[in-house]
Amino acid sequence: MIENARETVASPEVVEEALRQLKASLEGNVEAQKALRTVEAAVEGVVLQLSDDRLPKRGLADAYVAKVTRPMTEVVWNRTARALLASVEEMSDDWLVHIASCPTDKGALIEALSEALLESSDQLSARERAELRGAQAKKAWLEERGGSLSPQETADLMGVKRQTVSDKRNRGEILGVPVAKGYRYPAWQFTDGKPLKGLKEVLHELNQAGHSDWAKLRFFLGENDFLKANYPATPTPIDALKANKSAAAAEASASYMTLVSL
Amino acid sequence: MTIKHYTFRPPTGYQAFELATYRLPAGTFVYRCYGSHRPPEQSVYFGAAGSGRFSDPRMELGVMYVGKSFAAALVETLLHSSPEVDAIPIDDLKAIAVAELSFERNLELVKFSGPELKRNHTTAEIFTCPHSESQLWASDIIDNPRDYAGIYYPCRHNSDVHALALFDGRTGDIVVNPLGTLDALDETYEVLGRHGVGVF
Repeated sequence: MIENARETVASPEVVEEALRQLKASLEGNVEAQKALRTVEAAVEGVVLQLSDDRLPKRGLADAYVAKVTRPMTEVVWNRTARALLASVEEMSDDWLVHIASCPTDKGALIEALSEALLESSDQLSARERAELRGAQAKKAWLEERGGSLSPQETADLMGVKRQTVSDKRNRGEILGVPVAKGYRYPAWQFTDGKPLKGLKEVLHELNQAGHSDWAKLRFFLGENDFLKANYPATPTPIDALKANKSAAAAEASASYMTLVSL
Repeated sequence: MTIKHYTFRPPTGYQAFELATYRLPAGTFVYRCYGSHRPPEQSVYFGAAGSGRFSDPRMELGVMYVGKSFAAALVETLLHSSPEVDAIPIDDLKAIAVAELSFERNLELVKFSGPELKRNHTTAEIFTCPHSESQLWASDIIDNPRDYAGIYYPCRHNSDVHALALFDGRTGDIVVNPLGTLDALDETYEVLGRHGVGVF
């Protein structure tokens, strides 16, 4: 039965013929015809996806790898595809149909990933689960305190060119964090189109200590022991900067993520 | 905000009290985190800067802080400053190494945990008061003629696990077994997972 179903999904003409025969056999049975219409709607989604000429039927991987222009793209493709394929192979037929019915490729990818990572997180190693939590934390940090801006949005806000934004980031005057498509710029660091007063000095301290851009973002967002003890009204470095206490924020950076004497 | 008007100090004559103890049997492993740029033999370090909760306020006797378990060492090192840590840079895990330490004799440690807190005439305030006050207790324990080897106490952000403050010269010989950097140990990620902490 499952084998037949697979063949049916692979060939829209066979699906249509099977449905026609099924309809004829159910003539007079109202409940069965109602159930059949539900099935028909679901199958139609699958057929639409499979008959889409934009989708290569075979050699999908080869087709994409042939377009690779950068070696790292191939590495990323191979690694992610291998992980995804292993998970897809274990999915039930019902779930495969569900994913295949998604109206967009990205939607299908999200569904497949949620199955591969989140619902199967017990199969991930402890380190992989920690990395997943880290990725979720990074996403949340970018959404905090007003969200983040693209390079162009940052350039528009500051009234400068995109290249100037990039130069300022490289010089440590503003904070940008690396993401898949380049950089995102936390919105909280700007007021009236300019970086917060004292931001550059605090970034310099963090740079000197060797913190990554993401670790710097984490520093600015989090409550800090030094600030809580000495400036309880401004417990985070962002609060301190916005209250013109940049020296306090810079001092707080000295104790950020340093080892206690254990 | 609560305003405190008194000093949380030990009772008069505390340095002569016989106190309830936790015995750490000889050969038991405890865990010590240290900078991975140092050689493992430098993982054993009794600091006399007076900066820890149970350090000597006179800055005369060195105190070394270790975890009773691997989890305790990690909690005290990585999550000590804030319970709000949601993720830690992998680079930080690479910068920290951990070693198993064991001692060639039994260690009698003053037990500041469970019912022994009351038996030792103190309260849980010993874990939250300013270090200048908790160090008054440590000072009296250091001066006790019974030569206690240190203090056994619950970790600040996870009272299920315990740490030890060990006094210099009271532990006998120490055997060091380096385990590697935190990023390379599966147990690191398991402990972080129990606290809902990710890595990035």
